[in-house]
Amino acid sequence: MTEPSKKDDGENVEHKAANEEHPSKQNRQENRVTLAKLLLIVPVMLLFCASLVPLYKQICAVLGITSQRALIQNTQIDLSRWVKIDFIAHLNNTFAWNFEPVQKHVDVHPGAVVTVNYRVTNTLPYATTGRAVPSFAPMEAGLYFNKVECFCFSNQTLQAGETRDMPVTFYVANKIPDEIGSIALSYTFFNVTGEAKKS
Amino acid sequence: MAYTNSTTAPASAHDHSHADGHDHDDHGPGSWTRIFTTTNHKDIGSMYLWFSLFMFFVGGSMALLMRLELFQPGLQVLQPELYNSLTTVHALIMIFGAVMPAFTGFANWLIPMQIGAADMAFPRMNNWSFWLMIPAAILLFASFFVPGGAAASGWTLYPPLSIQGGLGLDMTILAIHILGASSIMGSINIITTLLNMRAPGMTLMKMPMFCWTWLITAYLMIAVMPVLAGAITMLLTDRHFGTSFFNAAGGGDPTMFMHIFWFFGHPEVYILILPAFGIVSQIIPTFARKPLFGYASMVYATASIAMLSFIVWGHHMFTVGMPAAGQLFFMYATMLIAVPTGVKIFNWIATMWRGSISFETPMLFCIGFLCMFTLGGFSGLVLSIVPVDITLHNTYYVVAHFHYVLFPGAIWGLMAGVYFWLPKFTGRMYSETLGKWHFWLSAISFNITFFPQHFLGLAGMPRRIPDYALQFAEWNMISSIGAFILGFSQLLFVWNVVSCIRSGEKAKAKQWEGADSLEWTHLPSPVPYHTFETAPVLK
Ligand code: HEM
Ligand SMILES: [Cu+2]
Repeated sequence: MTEPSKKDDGENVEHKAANEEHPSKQNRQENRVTLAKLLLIVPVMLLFCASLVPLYKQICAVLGITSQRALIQNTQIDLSRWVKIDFIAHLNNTFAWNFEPVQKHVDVHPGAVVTVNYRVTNTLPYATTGRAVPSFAPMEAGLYFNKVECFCFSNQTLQAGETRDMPVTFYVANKIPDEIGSIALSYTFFNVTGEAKKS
Repeated sequence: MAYTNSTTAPASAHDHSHADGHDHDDHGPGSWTRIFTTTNHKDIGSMYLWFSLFMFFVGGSMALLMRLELFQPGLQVLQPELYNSLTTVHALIMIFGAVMPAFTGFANWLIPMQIGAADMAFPRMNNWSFWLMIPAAILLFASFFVPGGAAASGWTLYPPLSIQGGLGLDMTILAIHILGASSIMGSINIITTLLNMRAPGMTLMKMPMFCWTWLITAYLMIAVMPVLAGAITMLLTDRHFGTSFFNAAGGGDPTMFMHIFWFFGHPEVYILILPAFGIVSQIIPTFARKPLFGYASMVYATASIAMLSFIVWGHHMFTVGMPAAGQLFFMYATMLIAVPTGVKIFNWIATMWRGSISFETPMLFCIGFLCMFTLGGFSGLVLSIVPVDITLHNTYYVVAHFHYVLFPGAIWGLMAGVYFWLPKFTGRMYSETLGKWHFWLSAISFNITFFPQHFLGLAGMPRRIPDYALQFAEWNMISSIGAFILGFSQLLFVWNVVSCIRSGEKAKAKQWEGADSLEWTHLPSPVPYHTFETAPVLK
């Protein structure tokens, strides 16, 4: 850009002639370049918008911020005590399934909610139905052992060769007496195939 | 900042006749039909300002209809469906139709003059970005009359409501698309003008604060408008083309929309306030007769507000069940924004400190801005606290918060700007008496309207409802009375502006003795149609 000198109409006109277009030619060129750069932001942000869904999932997974539960804590857990739970699996002798706990035992605090699995396989060449019945040792422990979810007492039909994991979710009540330091939970599966057909 | 003029009289005091066939004033300044083809930044600035004044009254009438319904419990004048449409369209009109175009209007008028440029960088695109707004506005109005009525999902367009709505919603989405395109074009124009067309000697750090705030705002707009466009396009395909971005029945996630929307939405609320910061930063030093305190820190504070605004969107969705780590992050990030905002508030106060202040109407509006905007910032801080927000979210407390930042913030900033620059634009003075009446009536009735809404929110009144429980009756009645006074006192403003243009006293070239930007120091009042055809030289 040229500097305007003294105020003089004649000079001003001359000056304008030199600078015929507004904005000046050189400015126009510059402006086009800026325009192109700025326009580029638009598709970039559109792409960014479209990629927000996978991005969120990735970032949250990487940072491990996936649950609101971090702040919601179970205040009913008695951290001062441990109870050992042994898991035992029995089959009624008329039965030819494989049945065993995935974990043989766990140590839990009274009040804590825990899930374990039992695994069953139907080794017979045809579909069979079984039903499990629980029992505790010592017997008294049954009073304090609360099952939230269990596969017992309901009919379980397995196809030939099928394997299934069956969860048990439970907690031991806080008021369990100190002297019960360990509990054995045992399940016994009965063959109820005929019965199931009848009903 | 001291500018010296190399010419003895204002450089472009005389109106050059443009027989040399410039493409930017086909019809010349005289004929009104030039509004369709004009590429003159002053014409377009005025068109933007008139358009937004009109939209301000349309949006305001909708607000008064709602306050009429809320005057008493029970349903008296509006059906709930229409009420919901009114909350939605009121917000959209005020944001996209009133506040944003008004800021753009000022940008068009002032930026070329303040940096010593002849016009905007892309005059023809400038004309387009104005005219695009008209079909968008028509779409929004017309949507009230199609089956199913206008969008009733709230301005945030949350699914599933926005997926279920009728034709009105499609029209709204289209309108927002058009307005978004218009804003992007406007922003590109502003950035290019500011970066490439400054007069020799006008370095970036010498630009008036208004130019700075607009530079930053324009970048914000280019960055987030495409995100909004993306979000509403996904809504549209969910509605019509069987996609399931946000449709839970197809495996989509409605909260995803909220994340995307607020990634746009929070920067958007700063788009609505930063140019007002700029206007206030010009006016307060003028009437305090002291230079702006901490100019550089103002620039940096504005830039940091803009950058932080990208990482706080989660504070609008604390209740969606986000992970605790997310809540904490968004809470602290939100509180952090109060720091640069505080820097600005303190700088304005420090500018006034020991100044010889006079209280003309523009200054009154700026002081009102300072007090009330700060209150709104405080209620924002209250809302940023997660456990508090969980009880206050979607209550009238939030309504009070954003009206405190938007009415005395954005709107008063604009009003102050109009009173301040009207003598420059028109060459005539407005009536101080009327202006002061306008200010005091607005200030008092604004607080009557919105202060009680804090109480209502704290007591648990939800927002966006046409009817409410009886215990909220008294404060609602007071709020409605305030709203009507507030609404009707804005007519004083129109009267003042119109009578100023028609018959105001002649204004001086430098109407305000403390003003120091180029339009005051280098140009006469009214400013001629073409200014700074040759760039001024600044030292
Ligand atoms: C210190 C500054 C600010 C803070 C800490 C803040 C904080 C917040 C929070 C936490 C919310 C969400 C409330 C909820 O929905 O539960 C909110 C809503 C809102 N804020 Fe602010 N804010 C601030 C400044 C502003 C400014 C400057 C504006 C605009 C000029 C603004 C406009 C809004 C709007 C429009 C909403 C409501 C959006 C909606 O749900 O419709 N805020 N603010
Ligand atoms: Cu926000």
